[in-house]
Amino acid sequence: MLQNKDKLKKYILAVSLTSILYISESLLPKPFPWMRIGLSNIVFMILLNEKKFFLRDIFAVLLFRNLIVSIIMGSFMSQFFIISLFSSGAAIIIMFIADRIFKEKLSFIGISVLGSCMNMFAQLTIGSLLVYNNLLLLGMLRYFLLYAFFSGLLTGWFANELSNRLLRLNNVVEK
Amino acid sequence: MKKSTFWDKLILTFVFAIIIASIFFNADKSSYLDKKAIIYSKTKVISYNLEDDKDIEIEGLKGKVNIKIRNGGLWVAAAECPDKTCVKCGQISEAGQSIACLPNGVMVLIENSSDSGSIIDDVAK
Repeated sequence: MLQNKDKLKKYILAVSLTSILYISESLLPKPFPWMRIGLSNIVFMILLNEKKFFLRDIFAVLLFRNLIVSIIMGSFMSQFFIISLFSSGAAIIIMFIADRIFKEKLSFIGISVLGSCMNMFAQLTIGSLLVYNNLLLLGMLRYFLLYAFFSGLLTGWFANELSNRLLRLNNVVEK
Repeated sequence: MKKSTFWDKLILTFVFAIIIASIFFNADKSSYLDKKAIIYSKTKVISYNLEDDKDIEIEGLKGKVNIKIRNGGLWVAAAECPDKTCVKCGQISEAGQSIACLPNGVMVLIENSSDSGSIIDDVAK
């Protein structure tokens, strides 16, 4: 019972944090609409290391995040809602696989770069299919991937730092 | 504690090398006489030669998209969309380059004239 309450609290915290980060990021001025840093993905990376959180739990957080954000921003069930859901889902799968294969050998920086590149690839593929019924947008993939590489580096660094601080905090609380 | 490891550096180097290689090894040396612009909208696909200067107006989902072809290059001069991302893309002139206006569902792609036209509805003269 206590474990379920603890997990529920983490669910609520994760959904709130990722939604706030996503919406805050959208308010930042950017030259192109797709140029998001992806700070909300820090939460998903931290959840990868949570022992009680399986892949289905992380997908549930993603779904709730997208629902809340799309309702607030007025893009519920639009093409952008579908593109965001599937591209973030693809990124989470790649990050999960990388985390399980490499375990402690790969930090969040490597995981984040793989996730952001996959996210960008999935966004272009699904966006191209939904809007144009072809895959021609993939012709621009290499330029978008360059941006995804650097944004993934930044996000991964943030996730590393946050994870280390949380670990130190946990050790202090337990003492 | 999470720290950058050897595997991080290996994966980052590998991914970065692939991205840079794909950008720089895509040089297209053909002249604009060998290229055509293909404009995709929700209702039709039209091909234009880049040799001839033209002003094109396409009806998109949100409004009009004005495309100019000059001296072998093309750009979106104006578009009725909220972000004007397509206008900010500037001029393109190489095969494989494209400009997309997502709100209007319009995309322009430059192809080599020798590429077989896939589903072209019309060739504008």
